[in-house]
Amino acid sequence: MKLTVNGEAYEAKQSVSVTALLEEMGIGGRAVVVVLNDEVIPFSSRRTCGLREGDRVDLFRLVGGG
Amino acid sequence: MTPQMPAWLDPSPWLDGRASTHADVERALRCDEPGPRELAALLSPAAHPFIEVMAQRARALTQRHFGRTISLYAPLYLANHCTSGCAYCGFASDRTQPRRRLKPPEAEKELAMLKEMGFEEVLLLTGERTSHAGFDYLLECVSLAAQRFHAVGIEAFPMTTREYGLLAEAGCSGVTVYQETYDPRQYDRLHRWGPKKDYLGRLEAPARAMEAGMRTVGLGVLLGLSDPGFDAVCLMRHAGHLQRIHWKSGITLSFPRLRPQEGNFTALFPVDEAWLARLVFAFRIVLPDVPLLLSTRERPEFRDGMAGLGISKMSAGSRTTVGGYGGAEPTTEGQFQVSDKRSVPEICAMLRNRGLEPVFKNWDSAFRDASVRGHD
Amino acid sequence: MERQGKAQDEWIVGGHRFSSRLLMGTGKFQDAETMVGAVLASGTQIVTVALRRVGRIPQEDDMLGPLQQLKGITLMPNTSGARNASEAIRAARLGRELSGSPFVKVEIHPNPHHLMPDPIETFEAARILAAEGFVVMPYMPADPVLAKRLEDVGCASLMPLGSAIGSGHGLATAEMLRLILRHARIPVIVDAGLRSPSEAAAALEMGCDAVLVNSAVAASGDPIAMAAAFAQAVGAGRVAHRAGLMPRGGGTALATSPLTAFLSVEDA
Repeated sequence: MKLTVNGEAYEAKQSVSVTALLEEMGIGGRAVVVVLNDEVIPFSSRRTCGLREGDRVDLFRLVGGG
Repeated sequence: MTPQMPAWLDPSPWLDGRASTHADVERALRCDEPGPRELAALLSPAAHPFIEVMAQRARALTQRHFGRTISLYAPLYLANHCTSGCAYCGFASDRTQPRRRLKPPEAEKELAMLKEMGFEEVLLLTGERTSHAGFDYLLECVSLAAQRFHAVGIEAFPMTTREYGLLAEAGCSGVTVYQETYDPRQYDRLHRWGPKKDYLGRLEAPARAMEAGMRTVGLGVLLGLSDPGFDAVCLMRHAGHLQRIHWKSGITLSFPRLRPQEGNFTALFPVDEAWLARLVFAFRIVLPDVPLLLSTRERPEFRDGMAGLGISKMSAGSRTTVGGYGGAEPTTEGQFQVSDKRSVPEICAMLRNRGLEPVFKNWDSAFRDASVRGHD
Repeated sequence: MERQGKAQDEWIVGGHRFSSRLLMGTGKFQDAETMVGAVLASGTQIVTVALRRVGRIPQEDDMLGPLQQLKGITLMPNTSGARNASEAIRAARLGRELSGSPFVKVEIHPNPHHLMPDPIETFEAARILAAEGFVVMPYMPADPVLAKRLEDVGCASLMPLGSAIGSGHGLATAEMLRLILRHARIPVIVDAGLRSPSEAAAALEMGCDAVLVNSAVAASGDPIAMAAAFAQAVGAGRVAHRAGLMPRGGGTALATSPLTAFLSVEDA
């Protein structure tokens, strides 16, 4: 399935949910916020939130900053 | 029941009974950001020997913020009907004196005379709200005044925000509401009956006027009614409170003084000239950019000396009687005794002699926003 | 003052009480260990963090993991990188998801060279975020009128710059800061431009409620030691402010011709 992750093309192997995508990418836990097609996905709905062909996924995290 | 003082006004943290020392006064005079503590020090007995130093500071600060100018305005008494029983006031409802109000054509005549004298700013005065001189009457008079004058102020009775808004639309740019005294106990005693007994209703009136968009609000205390040091710190806190919230409006302060014996009322806390002068200097030092006003209650020599020495604005040629400028006969007794009876040209000549330029117009009503301009 | 807590010289922002008056940024440190060490040495209770898209290698730049383990520290995401109000609002909402904190440092600087905050976009973002319930702390030019406008729309504090960000020019805006302080109803925190602890002390002496530093610590010779130095300076400045500074010299000398000769002696 073709997705756009953080602005770049990404070929998802088997991911059907947000949680599965994060696991596939090796990112887990609460440290990342997921934005699917410009909509923030709450932590609690990651597992049930399905992905479709062409979806845009953006993943954000906190970093050091002033 | 004695009204409760709101926390934002309460001066007690700065009036803890500790007498200010010589060193406290020196510190207050050279402090970067003088506040209530510094004001209290400058008004304490320890500051008395500093009066000349304070005068010099006051002159320098007045010159820096207002230049070598003095603004002039005239009061116009519209009515002396009143339902309040203020123990100190010549218009109190138990005083036997002729009551009248100017009919609008008479008010127009008086306004025309003031304009003739050169004024561009007028302060319209009434007593408490009565059926003779209520809100609608005042609104009509404001509209008449706004046709001729660039700045129209009122000193009447506390109103609602909506009423202040209507006056602003009609061309009123200033509201003066003196608390007289901030001491709730003394306030309650002296305001024997009538609507003015409502301490908090009066206290909150300036905020309502500012909320309604008035450009300036005048505050003050009537010196002689209560401990002047207490009232001064409250006045400063009241001004600061309003400035922090209603930051788009200006504040002016006045220092009317009850003469020792006036209208059958003996000043409870008499304030002499030297103390009044020190009060003005102290306020100039702690609030360098606030206009400070002086009326014709004071004698000519005192007014001449104080012009530019803290004071930046004065009334001139004043009549405190209804119809006093000759627009209606007969006139009534005045609200207070005018001590400086000199004419406007005489005042102007005096100011110029002292290197000060009399200013009649600080602002042009042509700049007023059309939406709050009425139909002129 | 209303904006001060009574008990132990705490200060209150958006209903939250803090005793430390030093806020720390977490950027520009060489490694996570130094950053955490500096945060601990500073005694800070509020640290700013930024928001970035996850990189290709998920483990890169994981400086915050250890920080999030620390107790008693509020994370305040900033909106750096936003060039207008809508980008800042989006960043703030994402930051809240990640930090679980209602605090947001609104920071909008469209010009990538001088990084001066855009007053118009900052106002707009602050207005909307405050209405959404954020504890809004705007990084802003030291402009007294903008300060009142931001206060009016519900900001929890004001964060005027001391001088250009990263410039180390200290309190170049002192005169404007004094005006802001004189009329503020909410805490004033000097953000940006500080280089040395003495400048932080001067800000507190002047009456500022707190300061925020980052580069001054991260880019110093020994960030952990410098963080401790800032903590001491901020404490000293605060105590000095409460104590009241000695008056400046001069000012009570008398001119030769008296101004008060007109006062009557026997008036009353």
